[in-house]
Amino acid sequence: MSSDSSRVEYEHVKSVKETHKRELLAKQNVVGCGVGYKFVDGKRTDKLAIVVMVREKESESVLALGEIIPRQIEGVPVDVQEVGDLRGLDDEYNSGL
Amino acid sequence: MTAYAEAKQAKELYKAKLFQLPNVVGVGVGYKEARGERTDELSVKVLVSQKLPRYALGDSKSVPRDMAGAKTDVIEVGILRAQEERTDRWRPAPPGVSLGHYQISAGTFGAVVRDRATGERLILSNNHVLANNNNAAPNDPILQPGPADGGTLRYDAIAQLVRFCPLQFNSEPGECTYADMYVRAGNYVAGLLGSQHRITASRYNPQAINLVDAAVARPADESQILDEILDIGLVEGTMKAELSMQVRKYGRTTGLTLGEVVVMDATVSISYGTDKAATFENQILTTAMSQGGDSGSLLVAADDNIAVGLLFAGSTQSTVYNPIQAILDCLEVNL
Repeated sequence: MSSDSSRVEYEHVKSVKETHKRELLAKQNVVGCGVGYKFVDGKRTDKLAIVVMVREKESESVLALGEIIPRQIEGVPVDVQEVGDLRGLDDEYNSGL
Repeated sequence: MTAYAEAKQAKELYKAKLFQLPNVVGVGVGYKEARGERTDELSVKVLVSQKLPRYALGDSKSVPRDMAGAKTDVIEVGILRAQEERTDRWRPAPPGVSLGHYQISAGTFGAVVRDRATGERLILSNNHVLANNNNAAPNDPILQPGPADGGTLRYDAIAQLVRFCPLQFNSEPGECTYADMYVRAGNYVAGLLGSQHRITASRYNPQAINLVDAAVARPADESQILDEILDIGLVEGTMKAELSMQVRKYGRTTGLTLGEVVVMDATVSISYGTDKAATFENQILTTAMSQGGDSGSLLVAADDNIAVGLLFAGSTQSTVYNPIQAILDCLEVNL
C-alpha cells in the first residue's frame, strides 16, 4: 500500500464497507466486516475486497434469501472468510464459557 | 551387583562430599564420555556450573577420578534454575506473564506505559483483564499470576487498577440485560479516577460502538515490573498496521507466536462470557495467534520492536486487536 493509487483503492473499499456494514452485520452468520485482500482457493490475491467474516461458511442453497452475502457491493468484490465465534480471550475461553 | 547399581552406590556414598566441592550442582549416574563421545562404561556423573582444570582447583577441591571403584565424569551444565512458566509468580514481573483483576480468570500483562500527566509507569492490558468488564473500582487489586493460575489476594497483588476505557455491551439476542448497559456517546476513558462514582444504566443501545478494550494499573512497587517483554524485549514507538504485515506477540497461554495481518478497519461483534456482546470499529485481524488467556498481549511488528496493537479477542481461526494509538489516546498514556 505504498503507492497513491492503492491508497485510493483502499479508501474506496473502506467507504463502501462503511456504508453497508449495518446490513451485513444484521445477517445472522456474520460477525464482522473489514478490508483485506481477496483469497481465491486459499491463496491471497492482490485484489482488495470487503471481507465479510462469518461464524461458519454455508452454501447459498441452505441460506434464507436475506442471509445470503452478495458477491460484490457497488462493484467492490466481497470475500467471505470463516472466523468462528470471536470471543474475549481471558482464560474463561479455554473452559468453554 | 550390576555396573549401574555399583555406580549408584558410589554416588550415594559420596554425594554429600561432592556437593561440598566448588561449582558442583548435581550428581547422578550415566555413561562416561571420553573426547566428546559416549563410552559403554557407567560412571558417577558430577554436574558442575563451570568446568575448571585440576591444576586451578588443586587436588583437594577437584572431583576424584574414581570413587569406591566407580569412575567419575564431570560435565558442565551451567547454573540450573527452576523452569519459570508464564503462569508462575514473577518478581519482578515482565510483560508477557499471567495477570488479572482479582475477580477474573487470567489474562496477559501487555506492556509498561507511561501516564501522560504524571510520567509514572503503568501496566497495560485489557478492560476485561484488569477491570472485569467495567465491574471494577479504582484501586481494585490486580494479581500476578491471575486467579486462574493460583494468584491470591493475600500474596500476589502486584498493582491496583487506575482507569479503564468502558466497554459498551449489546445484549445477546433474546436477552435484555438493561441493568448492565452503560449509556455513553463513545468509548472514552472512565472519568472515575479516584472516585467511586458509577454510571447507572438506563437504555439498551444496539448502536454502541467500541474502539478499545483497555485499562491500566499502577504497580504497588515500581521496581517489581520490568519494561522488556519476554522473548521480544523493549518495545518503543508505534505504527499503524498494514495488510499482509508480519507481526508477533507474547502471551500468557501461547507464548511467542507469529502471524500476518489479514483484515483492517474491521467492524466486529465480540462475545464476552455467555451473555454479552460488544461491537468494535477500526480493528485489526490476523491469522490465528492466540488462545484464551492471551488477552492483553501487545502486538509488535515481526522485524522491529514497534507496537501495532493490543490483543483482546479471537477464535481458533483468527485473532483480533485494537489499534495501539486508539489505546494510548483513550487511556492518556504513552508507550
